[in-house]
Amino acid sequence: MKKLKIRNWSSINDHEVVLNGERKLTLKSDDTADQKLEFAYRALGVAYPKFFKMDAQSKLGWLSAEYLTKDGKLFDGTPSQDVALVLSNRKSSLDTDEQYQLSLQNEEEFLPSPAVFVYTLANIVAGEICIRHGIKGENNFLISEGFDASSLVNYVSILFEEELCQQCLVGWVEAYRGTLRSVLAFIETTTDEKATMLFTEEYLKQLYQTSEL
Amino acid sequence: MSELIAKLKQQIVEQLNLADVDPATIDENAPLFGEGLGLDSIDALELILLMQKNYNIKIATAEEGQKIFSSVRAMADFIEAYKKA
Repeated sequence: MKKLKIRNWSSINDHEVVLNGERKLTLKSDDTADQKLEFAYRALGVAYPKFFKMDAQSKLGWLSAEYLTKDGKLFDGTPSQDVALVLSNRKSSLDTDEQYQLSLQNEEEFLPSPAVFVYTLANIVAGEICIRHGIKGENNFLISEGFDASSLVNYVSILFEEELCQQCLVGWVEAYRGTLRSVLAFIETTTDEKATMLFTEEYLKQLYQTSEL
Repeated sequence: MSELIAKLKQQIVEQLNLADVDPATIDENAPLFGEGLGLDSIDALELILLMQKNYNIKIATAEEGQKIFSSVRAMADFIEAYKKA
């Protein structure tokens, strides 16, 4: 079995942006989710106009990945087809689905937005991250009742064992009715006997629980 | 006409969520797609919506859309002509 470690991880919730356990940004409690996401985006100092076209969940996932970059790169030297992406959440794209449904029900002004419609799929957030970082490897979005660390670790471990990836971004991304929560971890192999932050079910579960605080 | 052009620029920025674009900096003669604002196919659909919502104009064909959305000025010209018709 390959030994897997977490190179770095980020989490974003309604209160803060955290990188490797260290608070990078405090989010204002009075701000709306959109304002918090824009604040976190501006703090990065990058120019990516497409960000403003995304729905809240895609912005959240995009930001979570962006905070894991170094010099704008999520990975360096690994072929893009060997980098995988495995995301999960509970509510799929329900936040945007509901918004779109409301526009369909508006009889007075029946003008459903195509720009909203394109985000009515959970894995669009995966697409946004892949486009940003040029990821061309295996990618999947799993919907589960709650954070399923066991399935995520099993699935990602198989990807590594079957040599379907050399590195993998994995975690939870969910934005729903103004509540934000994401935890993303960048996984790679290690031969270091003393390596900490090993990619185990317990550790991943711990990261998710930490993100709730 | 210049008032309509200024209004259209503002509406485009709002409809397409071009958050960091100052409407005043949009060149009304520059192509909207491919270069200039770098709009994509979803933006094209949003522009159709903009014309319908604000000017009650329905774009009938893709060819017509290509012509109307070639620049902000072309959009303004079409709206003016539509009002007179």
